[in-house]
Amino acid sequence: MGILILIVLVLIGAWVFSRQSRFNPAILADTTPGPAASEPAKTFSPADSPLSKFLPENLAPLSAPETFNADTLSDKIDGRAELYLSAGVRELQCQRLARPSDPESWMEVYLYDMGGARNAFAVFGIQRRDEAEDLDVADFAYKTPNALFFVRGRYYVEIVAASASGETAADMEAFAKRFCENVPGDRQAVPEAEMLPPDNRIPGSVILYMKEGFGFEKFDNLFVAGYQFGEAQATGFLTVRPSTGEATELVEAYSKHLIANGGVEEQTAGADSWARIFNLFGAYELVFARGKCVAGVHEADRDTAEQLGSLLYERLGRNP
Amino acid sequence: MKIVFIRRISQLFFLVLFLGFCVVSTLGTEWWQLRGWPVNWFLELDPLVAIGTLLTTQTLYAGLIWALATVVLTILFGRFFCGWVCPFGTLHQAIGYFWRRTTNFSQRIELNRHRPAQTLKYYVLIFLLSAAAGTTIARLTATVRGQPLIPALIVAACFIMAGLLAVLKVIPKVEKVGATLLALVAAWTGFALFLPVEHLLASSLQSGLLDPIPLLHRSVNLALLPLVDKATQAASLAARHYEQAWLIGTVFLAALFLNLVIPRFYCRFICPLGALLGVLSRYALWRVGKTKADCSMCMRCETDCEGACEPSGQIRSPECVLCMNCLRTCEDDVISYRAARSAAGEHASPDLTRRGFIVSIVSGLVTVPILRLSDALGLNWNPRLIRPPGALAEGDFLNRCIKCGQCMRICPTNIIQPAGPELGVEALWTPTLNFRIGTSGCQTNCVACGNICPTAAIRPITLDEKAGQNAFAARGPIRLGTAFVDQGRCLPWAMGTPCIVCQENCPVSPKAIYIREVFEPVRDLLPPVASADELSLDFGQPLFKPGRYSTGDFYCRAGAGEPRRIVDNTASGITIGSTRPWDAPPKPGQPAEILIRLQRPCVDPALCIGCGICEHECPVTGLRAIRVTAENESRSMKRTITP
Amino acid sequence: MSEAENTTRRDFLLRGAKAAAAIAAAGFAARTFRDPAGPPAVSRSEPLVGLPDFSIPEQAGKLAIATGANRVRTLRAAMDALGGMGKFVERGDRVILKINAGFSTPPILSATTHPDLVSEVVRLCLAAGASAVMVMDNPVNDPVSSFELSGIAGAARAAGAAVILPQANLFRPVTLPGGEFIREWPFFSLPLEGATKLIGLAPVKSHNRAGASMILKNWYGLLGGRRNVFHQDINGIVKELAQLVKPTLVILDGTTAMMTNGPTGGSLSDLKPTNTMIAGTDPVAADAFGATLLDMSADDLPYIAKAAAAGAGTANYELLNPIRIEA
Repeated sequence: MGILILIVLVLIGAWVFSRQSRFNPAILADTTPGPAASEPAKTFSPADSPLSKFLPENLAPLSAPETFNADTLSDKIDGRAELYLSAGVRELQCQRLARPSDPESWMEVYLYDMGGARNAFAVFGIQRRDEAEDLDVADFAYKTPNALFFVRGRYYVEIVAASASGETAADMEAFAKRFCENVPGDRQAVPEAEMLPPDNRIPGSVILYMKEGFGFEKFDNLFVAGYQFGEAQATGFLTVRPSTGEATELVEAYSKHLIANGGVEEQTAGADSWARIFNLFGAYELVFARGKCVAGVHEADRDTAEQLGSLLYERLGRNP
Repeated sequence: MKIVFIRRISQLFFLVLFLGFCVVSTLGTEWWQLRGWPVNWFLELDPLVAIGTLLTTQTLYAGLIWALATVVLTILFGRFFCGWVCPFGTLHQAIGYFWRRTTNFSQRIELNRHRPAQTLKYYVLIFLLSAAAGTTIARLTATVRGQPLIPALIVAACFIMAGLLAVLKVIPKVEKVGATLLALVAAWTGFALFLPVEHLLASSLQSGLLDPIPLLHRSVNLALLPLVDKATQAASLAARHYEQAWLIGTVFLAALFLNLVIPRFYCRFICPLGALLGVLSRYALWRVGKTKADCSMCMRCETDCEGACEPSGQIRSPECVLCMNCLRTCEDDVISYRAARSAAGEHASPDLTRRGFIVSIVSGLVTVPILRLSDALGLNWNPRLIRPPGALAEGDFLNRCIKCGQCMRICPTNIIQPAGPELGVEALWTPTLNFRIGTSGCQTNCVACGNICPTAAIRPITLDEKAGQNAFAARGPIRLGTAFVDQGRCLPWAMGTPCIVCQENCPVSPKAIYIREVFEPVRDLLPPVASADELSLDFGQPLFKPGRYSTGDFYCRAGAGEPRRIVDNTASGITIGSTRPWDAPPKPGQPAEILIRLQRPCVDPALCIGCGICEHECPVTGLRAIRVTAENESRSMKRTITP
Repeated sequence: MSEAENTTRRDFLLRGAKAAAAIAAAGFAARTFRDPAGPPAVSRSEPLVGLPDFSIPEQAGKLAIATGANRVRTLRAAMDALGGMGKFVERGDRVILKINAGFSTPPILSATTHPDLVSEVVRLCLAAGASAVMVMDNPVNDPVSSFELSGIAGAARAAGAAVILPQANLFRPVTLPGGEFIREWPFFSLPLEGATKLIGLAPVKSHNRAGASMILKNWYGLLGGRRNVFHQDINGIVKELAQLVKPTLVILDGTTAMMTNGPTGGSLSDLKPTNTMIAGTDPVAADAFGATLLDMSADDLPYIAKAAAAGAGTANYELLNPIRIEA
């Protein structure tokens, strides 16, 4: 009992002694400036960085890495978080990088772990910028004057630079290459992208809607691409169902949905009615099932709808 | 090892720790200065500070959470704090111990016998806590207003509780307890619905006057250490001075010397903290008591009993301070510290009379509203009560300040002083600024007082907030008051004597003290000019001390034109500066005048922060010619004098 | 076991139970009432109702739209059209610029107020005689990084303004009378309480949740606490902010508009040169016009109609006869 009390006294003494090195603000006040805005002195070691193994030789981390999960994602990207959340994002890691010689020209890497390659492709496709240049560095990739976007495996990566220069563009590509060397790709995750006919397709226009494509609740996993026939434009779509029966049912359900929304069914020209075609206030919708696939054309004039429809039909015949 | 020996080690340890904390409470980073030493730890451990501020503010500030440790340990083990930790108790015990070494057996038993007056400390406690409880009660009644369901629910809960207690037979007189509860709820509801008590009730934290930890801090900080500092100049370069030190020191010495009358006099009769801990120890799991009801009744256990708690008979547990002396002195070995109650029975609660209880509650509740009738917090506020930077508005301040004197000890310029009774009864020994004492005014780069204050009566401000810069630019600097020039005492205003010491020392940028320049004739009357040339005048008779007007502040006006600056004088004439000769030399017979150039200080209230440096530096060393009072202090919107 | 031992045992257990209850009560009280931060400078007992009204009645309903690629030049032209900064800022004013420093992104991404615009407005305010100009926002990202990387802190300081970061002690609960969301909600209000003028400075951006983020959505950066809950009714909260905040002047920078992927953007290809600077005293009209730069109309942004209905301004900006200039 007595010993116990003495030990407590010694512990109190030790605590008091340890406290004295944590200075009271009373004495710090006359040596430190107030909380004025200054660069935060966060310490970090490059080895801790989740990105360190992807860094090209000439890039070094400029800031401590930040990590966000589904609950905190809006702390980093605010209103854009919903887009990623609906696609099943698991985690976002961010870090700023720069050449040590030129810290002003920094870039920030946003590494989204989407949980799966299809999810990654979905956010990639929906956000694809118009004035983009396709790249062949990853599963899917494109760049804009100051940024580079790519999908590799289950990751969707955005690299955004503080300035648009050739050097940073080269650094961004080097990062993407390094990343792809270290992370296995999964192009096969979206075979439907290959099943859409490549002829007349607008490059980089393939988008994957995970849910509710065209606002129709049963259209999940819907692949969509833009097509150009001379002046005329049309949207082709494609989704794969588990069985032939379910594919036929989906065509039926979509037809009903179109009619309910004011669509009028018209007769197809060919005798073999492989597709159903609807006139929606002047724009035509075409839909058909072939095997397990449901495909069709969205918002086209009638000729284009049939032209693109037969392209799709033939393509699916070759790719059962 | 004997338990009494361990207790002595513990008491010595905490006494040394306490004194050490007092010594290191000076500004600096050396090991013998403040650094990060937890100098408020004893105040934070003190549950009376915690409960007092909890009642007045309904919050528990930062470090005061430590009191929870004391409360929990006291509930489990009894008043260990009094017998093992409290440095004030240790001092009392030591004096009593040495004093009664020469006394004999029967004298000792007489000294340590229980006295009915020991209940006085419980009344002191109740008085102090009810004086602090006004705002909490007001808040509780305010919540009922407009929600008649709440009292109904509470009445129902009271009935259910009373019923349950009756069934479980916990309380012997259920009807009585139930009736009391009902009466209280009825009074509460009645007040809430019909009488707006929140305008009537007020709270004031006065427990620091008698709470032993603040009392000892105050005494050591303000009466003892300044004596040591003066003798050794070890902890501070300049001697420290404190007003009221005589009274604080007298109270302290009186408390110590009363041990010569009855040992641990303060602890037994006065100490409100001891009373609080005594109440908390009611259900203590381990307690001192007899293992057998009968013994030889040798009374040896009472020879050294510190708490005067009658261990020989039915022990009065709330009085027991766990000194464990009775365990050592018992010849029959029947006294022990164990989980069971004393076999001889015990008095588990203090002998409070209902009358005394009600009298102390009512007087506590009524005292503060009566004190406030002076309107000292309203229009009749005392402008000489200048609070340190970061102090809360006066009502909130009085709800938190425990008069411990920590801010007064840490203040590097020694200007924070314990207020005397002339600044208000409630404000007694609370911090106020006196710029005559000490080494300067309030320093612009110092925020020590708020960062040491254990209860945030002075908020822990930053330098930015004090100076009103960066994030605080819009709010402006913290103003302690405003300097007023006493034109009847100021040398340039009243005495025709040049002096701009206050303007030179004003630390505000742009300076809050500005100058009005005037030329005034000196007192000496001059005869007409006798003769003159380009640069001089002569009056033809001895008039003044040679060199008297050569300071550069004197000018001569003769004839037309601007006054000319005098560079020297003889007994009968003056010489002016060669850069500006007379327009035309004055003719004999013309009148001439000697003028003095005066720079008279004026204060711009929009810029003055009330730091008091001007008052400290003023060469009129008695009643200063420029003095700061609390008008325009930023802690109260109502005291503003600038639009 | 003897009767006596039994009694002792029962007594101990009963005492133990009471002691445990007392400890639990003490612990609960300590936890409930704990206040590590201490009291605020301003008594927290009375939450602020509303905010100071910074608008100038004589200047109500003014709108100027300047077109041109140089934002400093278009700003000057727009301000000249409104009669100069002197109409809004007088000698001795303490001016707050509520900028958008929401993200730690570089200026070229246009996700934040452009530093050139910040420094020019600071200069104009100081030239008009302001005694102090302060730049403030409560960013989404780390405040220090956001202010520094967006270039706003540097520009503000170089031009002579102070940067006010969202420190906890600058927040105070604020209630909008009749409001549904802003009820004793922590607000970045202490700097505003000491200021005499308030200018809103925001870029034109698309916003995935709100449709667009311009002047009105920018007041969101005055909210503290877990403000994300308001994303559930973004139009409702923006409407209440429009009712609560009454600025002296608003400047909407449509030199470069973020057309897609807002509010953070990320690529230059999200941006489009729209070469417009809008300055005026009607925040709703400014936003209504700003919507056209994003190829939207005021009808696409429900909060504009709601704010107009609540009396915060007019959605039909043509009614204000906006002054159009080229610069």
